[in-house]
Amino acid sequence: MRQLLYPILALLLTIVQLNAQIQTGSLLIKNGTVLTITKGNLDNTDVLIENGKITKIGKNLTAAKEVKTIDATGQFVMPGIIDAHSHIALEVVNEASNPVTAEVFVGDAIDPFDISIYRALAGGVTSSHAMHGSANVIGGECETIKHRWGIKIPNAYKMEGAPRTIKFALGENPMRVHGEGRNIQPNSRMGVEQVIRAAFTEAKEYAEAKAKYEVTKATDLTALPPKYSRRLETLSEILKGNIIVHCHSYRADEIYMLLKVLGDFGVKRICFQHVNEGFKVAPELAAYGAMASVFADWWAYKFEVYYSTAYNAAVLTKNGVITSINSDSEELIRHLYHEAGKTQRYGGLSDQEALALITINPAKQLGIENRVGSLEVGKDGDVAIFNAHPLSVYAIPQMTIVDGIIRFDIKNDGNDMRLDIDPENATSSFMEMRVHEHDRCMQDVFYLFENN
Amino acid sequence: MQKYLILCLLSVFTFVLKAQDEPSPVTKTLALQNVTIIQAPGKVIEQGTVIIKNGLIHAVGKNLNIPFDAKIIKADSMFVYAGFIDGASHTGIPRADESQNQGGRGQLPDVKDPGNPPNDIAGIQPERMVRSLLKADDKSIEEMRKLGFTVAHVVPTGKMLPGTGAIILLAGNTVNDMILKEETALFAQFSGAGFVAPSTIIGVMSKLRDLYFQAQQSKNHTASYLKNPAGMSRPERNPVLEAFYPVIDKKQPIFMKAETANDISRALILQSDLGYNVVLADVKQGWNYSEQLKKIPTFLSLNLPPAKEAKKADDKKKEETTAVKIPTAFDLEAEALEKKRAETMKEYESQAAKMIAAGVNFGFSTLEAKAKDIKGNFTRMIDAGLNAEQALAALTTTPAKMLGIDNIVGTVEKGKMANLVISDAPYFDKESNVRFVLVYGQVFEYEAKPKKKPAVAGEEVKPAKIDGKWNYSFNAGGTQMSGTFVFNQDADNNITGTSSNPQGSGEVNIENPQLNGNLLTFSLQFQGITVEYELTFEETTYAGKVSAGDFGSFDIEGTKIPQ
Repeated sequence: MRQLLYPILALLLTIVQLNAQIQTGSLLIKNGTVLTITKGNLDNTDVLIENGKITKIGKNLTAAKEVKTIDATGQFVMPGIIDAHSHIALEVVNEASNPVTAEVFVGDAIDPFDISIYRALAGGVTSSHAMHGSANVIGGECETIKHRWGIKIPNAYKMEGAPRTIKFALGENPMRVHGEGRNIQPNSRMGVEQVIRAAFTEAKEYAEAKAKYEVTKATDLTALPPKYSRRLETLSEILKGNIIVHCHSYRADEIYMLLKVLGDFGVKRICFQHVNEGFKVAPELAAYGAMASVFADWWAYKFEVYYSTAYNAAVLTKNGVITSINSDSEELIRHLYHEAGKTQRYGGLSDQEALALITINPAKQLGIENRVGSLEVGKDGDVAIFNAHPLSVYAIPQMTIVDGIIRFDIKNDGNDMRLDIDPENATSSFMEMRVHEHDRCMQDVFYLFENN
Repeated sequence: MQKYLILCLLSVFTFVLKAQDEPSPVTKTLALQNVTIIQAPGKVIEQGTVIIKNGLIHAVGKNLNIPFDAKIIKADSMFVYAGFIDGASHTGIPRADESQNQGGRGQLPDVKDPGNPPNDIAGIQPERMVRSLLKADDKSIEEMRKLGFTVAHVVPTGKMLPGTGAIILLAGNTVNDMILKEETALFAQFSGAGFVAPSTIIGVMSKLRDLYFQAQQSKNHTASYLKNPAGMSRPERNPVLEAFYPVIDKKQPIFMKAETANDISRALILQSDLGYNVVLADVKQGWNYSEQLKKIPTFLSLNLPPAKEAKKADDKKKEETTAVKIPTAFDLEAEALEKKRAETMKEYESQAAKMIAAGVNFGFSTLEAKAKDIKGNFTRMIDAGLNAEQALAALTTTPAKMLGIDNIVGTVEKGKMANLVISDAPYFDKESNVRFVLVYGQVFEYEAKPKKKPAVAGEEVKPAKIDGKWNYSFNAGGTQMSGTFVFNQDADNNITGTSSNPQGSGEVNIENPQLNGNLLTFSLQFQGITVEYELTFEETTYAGKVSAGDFGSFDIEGTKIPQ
């Protein structure tokens, strides 16, 4: 007996150590209508999550005594919703000091205290793509986060193993910040293209010089590496295909332009963001293998966003483009299931297609589809439970689960779920409220225009 | 070259100052008799004697013979402690002129390439030394000394990389007299440069990584060039990168200002990515990181969020007694919010006590603390669970060890520097007064604070003179506001005036101004909100509060603009 106990204890210890890094839990969700997304709908079915992973989906499942059971009779169980474009949980969105800032990383500014994370959970959203803003042509690296609300350590929100992603931006925002704001390139859409071409060219030369140094250093004692540059390091990783480009864009001409530029430099992994005129170049996007993350029906907030249609997501989907619906807002993120539902009114997408827009498709765009985005054995225990079908206007999220841990529970959570309260004022200040009148993509750069 | 010239000039200058020193005191032997000596936390000698010779502690004990040449310090029955040590501070460095273009919000510096600005505008100046910035007669030295601080680890002010630190004595006629140790640490903070790069926290994080790797590269290049220069291009001399060399060699730590929980996280991420030695300074919100802070030298901030005045509670009681009020849903919510706020305030106040419980060794730092608040903040921390012995350790023995100066300061022992604090009651008692501070044997004497007299009715307080132009700045929930007030004061002390604000609505008239003694109250309209001001004036400075209704209240301060 004792001989057997020791290996078990050792095993337990290693689990505890792992858990110290990523908290996971075990749950048995009983008797719900399970919307798997990839493998159809299953009536009166159970989902078992053990140590953060889905281990069984089926009828009449049982679990160890200590595993909590949730009765989902009459309820709808779907994979946690994923938002491919958001700026929640960030202390800083834009490093607007240069048209190219590939060296910065919003993962350095994760804010585990942002109440928007909890509000997103209350809308069934378990993961989001915390993005750099659109002030620069090549902005910073983004971070794919899991909404592990309650943990107060920023690093715990980073989705371990998610691929690197970076923000690009075309059109009015970078032209306004750098051209209009500072009178430097880019002042036009042509300038935007040249900024990207110049950056890629420089990165290519840098990578070549580095490679040459690696070869010659053994024999030539006088050989020197190129001066270290974090910016060029990141850009050359894009050229190597190790970073997925997510590009803020609206107009068809500039979308097509970027496809050409990326083609010239051999960059394959691209997801266009907003992409309001995507419907005009849908076949071209599909042919390139480019993806698209769009709004359901948000437009006309600046000149380049007038030519828009609520049929965009449907047109892109029918042309074979991997499409998602995103929020770019701490308000919209709370009801992405409604946003997805709009594609049934405008475009007649099926339930399956509409739900894919907020689950498996954004997962593919972030390169995390082997982990999340559908309910399958082996995937992460990220689940949203609704009282009605999530595409129904009467649907209300009941419970949201991340890695097998309940992070939102409509029945048992308190009224005030804030984690970090200002010790001087009971509620937030008016300055904070003013920021929220604008879209978050341009956060941190408004001061540039206040003086003009 | 220019820098060396300036250094040379500086040393000539200090020499001249030295020649004009005050005459030496008659005797350099001092004695304290019949005092309670707290030699170190928990180590007390009752009715003891301390003898000081030539700036050093010569003897400590009971029933010692007083040397014939000793001057007796009149501290009978008082309490003697080792002089306090400030782990990170800007003491002695004059505050930068706020009106100068600092490149903050609303002020766009004239820079050709905002993505690659000159180092001084970017705030990348790690090669700067305290020696060239310190002013021996800066008023902050006296303010801190009066509280009992005798040694401070001073770091330059600025943005991301303001310079290297130095340990100084808080007394001396010249900078040279004061400096104990130089190039103690590279000071860094998560402060962006506003309009230019690095503009934000993420810019700063990336720039620190960039500089660190470039410094490693340039250090290697220099080393191989020295070994084998033939055929190799000459390494570039770059004082910014060279300032990192001792950090790479682990001869100097990076002193990182990390106030918030997220700043601490960033400091830890950088440290684990780059592998240098790190010290955290001015920690305000560290309670979730006690496990990690056990392994890292840490200085907790002596700045606490300002306590709410108890006045409001009294008003409430009055209301309750006059009429029984049925609480509305709004009242209940407001009450719950207020309760949560008060709990959070307790978290800040009990940080030090929690760290002790978790086994974290810490000192204190004052980068953001105002001298006038520090004594009160000790009381708040002690009320929240810290005991006097622990507070003393954090001010003496622990920082002495962390700064590597425990062989010369930190305890009242033979051979240590005569750095002493003498108070008329145990120091951490609310009503205690510091009566003497000794720095390297130099004696500073202070009066006991008179007990507050109740105001006598009918006694007129003389109104302060506030006529003229004053600047102001305050932080409104993360946004820095600054501008100027103009006050006109007539012979009868009636006040009129205007406030102008370059960030917003231009010039507005102040309303209902009332000057009572040195307290000025008035209000004004800002974007449809009535904003109330309460300012307490000194001769050329003022400080006070701005309240914007439901939007909260903020600390404001300013100085007189000379005509």
